[in-house]
Amino acid sequence: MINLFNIIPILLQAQTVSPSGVKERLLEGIFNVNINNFLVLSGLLFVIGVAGVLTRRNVIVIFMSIELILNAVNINLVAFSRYWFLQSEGKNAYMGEIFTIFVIVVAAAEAVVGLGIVIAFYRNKETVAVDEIDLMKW
Amino acid sequence: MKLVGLEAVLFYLLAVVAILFAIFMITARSAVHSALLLISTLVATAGLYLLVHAEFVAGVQILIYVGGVLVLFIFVIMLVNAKEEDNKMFTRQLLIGGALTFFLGLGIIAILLQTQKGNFFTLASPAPPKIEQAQNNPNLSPSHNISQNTIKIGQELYTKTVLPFEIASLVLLVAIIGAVRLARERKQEKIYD
Amino acid sequence: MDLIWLIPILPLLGFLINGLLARRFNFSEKLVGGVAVATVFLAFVLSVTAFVNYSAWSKQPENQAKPYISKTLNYTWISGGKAFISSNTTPITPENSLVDLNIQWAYQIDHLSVLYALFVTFVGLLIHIFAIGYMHGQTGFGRFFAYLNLFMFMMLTLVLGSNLLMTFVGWEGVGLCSYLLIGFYMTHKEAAEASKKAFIINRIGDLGFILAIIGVFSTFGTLEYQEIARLVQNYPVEALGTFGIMSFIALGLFIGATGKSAQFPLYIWLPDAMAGPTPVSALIHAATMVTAGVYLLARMNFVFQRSLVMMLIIAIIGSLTAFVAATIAITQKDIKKILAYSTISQLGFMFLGCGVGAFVAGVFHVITHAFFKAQLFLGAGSVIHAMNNEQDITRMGGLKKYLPITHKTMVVSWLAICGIAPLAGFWSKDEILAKTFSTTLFHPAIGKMLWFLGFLTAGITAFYMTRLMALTFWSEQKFLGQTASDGGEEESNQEANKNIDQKNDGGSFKIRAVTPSTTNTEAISNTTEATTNDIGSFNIEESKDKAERINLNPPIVSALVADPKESPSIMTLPLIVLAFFAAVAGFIGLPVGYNWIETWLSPVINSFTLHAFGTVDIILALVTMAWSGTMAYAAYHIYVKNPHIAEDLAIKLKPFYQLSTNKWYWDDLLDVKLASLINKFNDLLGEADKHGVDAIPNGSALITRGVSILSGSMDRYGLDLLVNLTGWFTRAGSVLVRTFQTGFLNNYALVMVVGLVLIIIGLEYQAIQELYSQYFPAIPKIIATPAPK
Repeated sequence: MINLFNIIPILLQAQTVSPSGVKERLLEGIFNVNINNFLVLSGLLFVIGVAGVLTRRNVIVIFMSIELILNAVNINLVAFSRYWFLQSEGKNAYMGEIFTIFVIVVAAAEAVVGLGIVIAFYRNKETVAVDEIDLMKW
Repeated sequence: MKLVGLEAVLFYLLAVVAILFAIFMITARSAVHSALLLISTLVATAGLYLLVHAEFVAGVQILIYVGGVLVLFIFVIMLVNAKEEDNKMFTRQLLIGGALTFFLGLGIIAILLQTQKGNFFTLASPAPPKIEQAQNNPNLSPSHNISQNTIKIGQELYTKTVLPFEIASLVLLVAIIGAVRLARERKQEKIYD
Repeated sequence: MDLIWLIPILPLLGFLINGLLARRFNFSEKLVGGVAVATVFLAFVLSVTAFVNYSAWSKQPENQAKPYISKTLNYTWISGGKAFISSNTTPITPENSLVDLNIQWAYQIDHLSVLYALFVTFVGLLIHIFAIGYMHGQTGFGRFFAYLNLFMFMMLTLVLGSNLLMTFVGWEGVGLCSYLLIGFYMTHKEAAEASKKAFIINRIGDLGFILAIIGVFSTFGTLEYQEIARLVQNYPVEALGTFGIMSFIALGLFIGATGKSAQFPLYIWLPDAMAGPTPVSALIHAATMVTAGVYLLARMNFVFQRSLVMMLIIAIIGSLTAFVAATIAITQKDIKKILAYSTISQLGFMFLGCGVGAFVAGVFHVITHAFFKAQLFLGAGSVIHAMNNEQDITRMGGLKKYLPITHKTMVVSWLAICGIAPLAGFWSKDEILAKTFSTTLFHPAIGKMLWFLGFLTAGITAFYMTRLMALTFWSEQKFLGQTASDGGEEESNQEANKNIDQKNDGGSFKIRAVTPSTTNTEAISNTTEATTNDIGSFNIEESKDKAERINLNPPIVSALVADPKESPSIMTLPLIVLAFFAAVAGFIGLPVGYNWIETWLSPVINSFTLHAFGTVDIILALVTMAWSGTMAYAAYHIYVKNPHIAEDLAIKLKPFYQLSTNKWYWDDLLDVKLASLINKFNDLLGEADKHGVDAIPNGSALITRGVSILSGSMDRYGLDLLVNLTGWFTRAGSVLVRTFQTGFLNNYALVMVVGLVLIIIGLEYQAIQELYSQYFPAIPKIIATPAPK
């Protein structure tokens, strides 16, 4: 079991520290999951979501990718909420999670309206491929 | 904030599952598969929430996302019957989009490293707060069957953030009306208008 | 006392029961009326209890300094966090310029609000009872009472609310109910339009009210009346000619009051509002809602008293409104419209009283007016009911013997509104006039002039009210008594006379067919012509429409066929009670001896030091009464003894007559002149569009043409290379620009992500460069800026 997400930055910084330092830091990184791991995870999910939005043709999959992006943001919020909870001894500690709930609510609303649009569009054009939808073209 | 031991193992497990399934999701050929893979990713994320003691958010995630939104997605996929995409999954901008997201990822990692210089986010190792102790001691907690996290979130949600809460309910209402208006058929429109 | 909140909530309960359940479960009329009356009755009982308890409570010495009981429904309604206010303390620090926007939903009882609650519930109760009889058998019975109850709730919220915002909620609520009830006969175009008119004109006033609320909050940092009353002491009185923050607030409130209380220039909605059922006119458009403006003035009297310029404006507007409305009322033919203009006129009196600093007199007049005007309206309703929805008084007459109770009670109110001692109207009206005459706020001459206007108005009031009574009750009978009410006779009548009333398919409403009479044709055509000339150029058909609409409509040849009967006791009982109060309500404010209302209201309304009661006032009162009596007798003489005098007078005094029948041309000004002005403005904009904005495409077209001519000539000389180049460049440019406008979702998302990447690179260039330069040596190093330590 290796700390996947600490490896990348540590290796990237390998030039600046000595080789033994790299090994130490690698070992230290194992089984020591802190907020950075969450941030890296969130960043990766975000990038995957963006990639989905940019490349897929099916508009429903694009919607799902957007949900993924929102989910990445939620991970960030929850992680920081926990972090702040421990730092501040419980004061205002739940705002991050409450915000997450609101994000979920808005995501649900967005999905509902978006899918409504998809259905309406499909009824007219018989397609859900984004590169056949060019009503906005000049 | 540190997760050690079994918690760390679980974290890696769930994170790897989430990322792998996310990658599978955007590359899956069938939209139904995409939806199922997204469900897996979201469930894994809910597990991560549980790891950081956000039980309520985890529950909401499962209930709303998996139970509500994704089911809606699957309904819509079945309604629109999008099989035609199977032979051509990606848009013409696959290459440039991929490259761009790659750079985006590199940039995000750079930012993360910049911010954690000098272990910015792991400075203090604070004492566990009193609330945690109350959670462990069932006698102190008035309703020890419910997670302390849920109680607290409920309290804050209905006191400090009650206005956004009401606004959120309005947003949902508007979304419902909008969706109904958008999705009804011509025939229905003729009947109701 | 803890049950104050029940006073408004009970009618709301009635509204919910009647509004939600009545139609679904087919409530009988008795049940609907019972629920509505019961809730209002309970509210009235509670008001009485509150009044008794409160008067005992407030007499205790420890409560006299702070005579408010509030927060009985302790619920934080709006909790908006911190807000900036323009504090008048110096130095301005975050502490004293930041306040909590924290508004309670609290009902407050003090001397003013309990008085208002008392008479609102009392008059409301009587009118509810009356309405059971009046609305009997009409469609929408449940809806009507639901609206009435909702109105009671809103009115009581307006009155009992402890802060401006609650008053505003009630204010808007009564406006809404007014809209709903004016448009109650929604199948009638006239009613629908009148309701829209009322609603929209009220919105103009509400804008002022909102501005005033904002001004109050930004000045005082609170909207609670008691807090404002306390904080306002720090502000000086703004003399004539200065316009400070107090004047601003007062102006806003006054504009609001102008809209709601139908003052000049926003009074035009109230006459049209008579399209609603008569109990509504009595309750909303005479007794309670329209006096909300006076309530607001009295409530915020401490603000108004700090702005002399606004006091003067209020007094002038009030007296003008009183005079103008009274003159219009002289020539109206619709019984309800006469009463509507009379209401406007009396409201003008109240504003005049407030304007000269006699807020107590204003409130006093509100109360007395509520009784006698509600009685008059209900009496009119009784008449209309008996006459099968006929409202034209020139077609009535001689009703005295048919409607004895209605007649007797209306006589009491008639005497009261004419200001004959010792009935209610005399005391309040003459108190206002006396206070106006002796006002010390302004230059004495201004007071005298305002008094003279009010004095004239008092006489005119006596005149038109006598005319109303004379034409309705005392003059010759102008309709045909109908003994048998079978359809055959009606049909034969219809054949004989085409313009007889016809049954509408809607039920009991009648459409009146009109034809010009032979006697008055000349006058009518003259007036029509005059209207045409005056108003401008619209064609004859329009002018005919106009004439009909603004009540120039020709008199009716055919006699109405009716069989008037006295209304059932459920309708006459409120009439009697109200008439009783119209007779005796004035004794709460006797100028000599113990002036109860002034003593009662003194904790909340600290009036200006006004002229003490003296012989001058007695003389003034006697003069006014004599003048009113003379005018009343004149009207009696004209309309009962010698009916032809009226027509002669109308022809002799044609300019005045036309001015009055055309309502001082104010409606026409708004309808025609303003509309044409707006049209002209639009035309102007169109012209500007044509010559200004269109110049750009036209100019470019011109330039293009020039270029083409030029290039054509060049081509002629063999230089078509240039032309081709131009075309090529254009095409290349458009291709370039077009590529960004693919219309594809993904491309737009791509552009977004490009922007994101660029932002990241721009903001975090150093981090990227440090991290990746070893793998991508191509990344140029940033110009070294020394890192801050």
